[in-house]
Amino acid sequence: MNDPHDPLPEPGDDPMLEEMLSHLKRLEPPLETRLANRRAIAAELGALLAASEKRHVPWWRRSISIPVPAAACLAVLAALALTSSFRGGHDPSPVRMAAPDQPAERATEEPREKAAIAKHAPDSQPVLEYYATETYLCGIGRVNWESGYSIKEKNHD
Amino acid sequence: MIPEESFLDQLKAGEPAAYVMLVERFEGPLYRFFLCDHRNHHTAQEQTAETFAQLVRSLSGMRGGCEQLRAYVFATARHVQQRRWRGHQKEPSSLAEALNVSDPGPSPATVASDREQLERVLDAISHLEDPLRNVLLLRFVEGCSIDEVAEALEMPVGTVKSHIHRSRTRLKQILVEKE
Repeated sequence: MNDPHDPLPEPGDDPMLEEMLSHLKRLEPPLETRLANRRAIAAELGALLAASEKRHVPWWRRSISIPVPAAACLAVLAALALTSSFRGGHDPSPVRMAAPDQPAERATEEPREKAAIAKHAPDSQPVLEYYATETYLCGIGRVNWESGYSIKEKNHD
Repeated sequence: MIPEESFLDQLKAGEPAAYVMLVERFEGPLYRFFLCDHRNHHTAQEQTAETFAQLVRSLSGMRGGCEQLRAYVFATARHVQQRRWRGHQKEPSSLAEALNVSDPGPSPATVASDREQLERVLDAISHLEDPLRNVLLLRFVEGCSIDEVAEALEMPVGTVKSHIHRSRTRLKQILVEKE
């Protein structure tokens, strides 16, 4: 054990040891080592800089990593949704309204004069028939609306 | 030249000029630190570069002031040293290679004498046990204060003082035995 009252050895207070260690103190790394140190520092600083630039990219320019199967599924779903939305919801059969003997709800909307003509038309004569056609596009709403009157012959049994 | 008070701030900010200063200041001490551990030039070179790379990554999170930088650098070096201990056994010496590539400077006779003395002291230091060797190097070769040694080697100040006594006595003993 060391005596706690012993003075602590200081660098330089032992000439023999100092002389021995002076050779080691003078040892400098070779050029190859110096270059390797600078390369290591440059590489790490470059990596840090790249990482900090990536952090400053706005959110809409950042990329995210998702598994390929998930990305493929999402792409297929998106394509399907887009296709079905452009196909539209066109109703091929015209909406027949306001037959003279069976007035529909929409018949109330038609002009009074024309409705009156249809109402009073005798059975033996051609019938004036109101029609309305509406075309809807899914996600957009009504894109076409057409209405009018057509004259039809009634069948006589 | 970067003022001492802003040196650490610039290191933390990743300023290349500050890192050039850091390398110039510490590449010698770090190389000697590693070389005394295993006397292998190539490993010492790799470990020195690895320590600097580690410092670039970790210095931004360093606590304390510029006066603690040296202890921080050697603490990082010690972690690099411990990683090698865990991964490898000691390789055969290639010290001669390091001495050959070093700038000779003085006359061949002086160089030969210096080399012999250096071989002798490195051999003696490498025979010291780990804590004693690192304490001796930091205190008597690099001139660190006792607090710096304690911080770098993560040991109490009392233990460092005890190791200072023991390392010096043990080194002298080894040198006498080798003569």
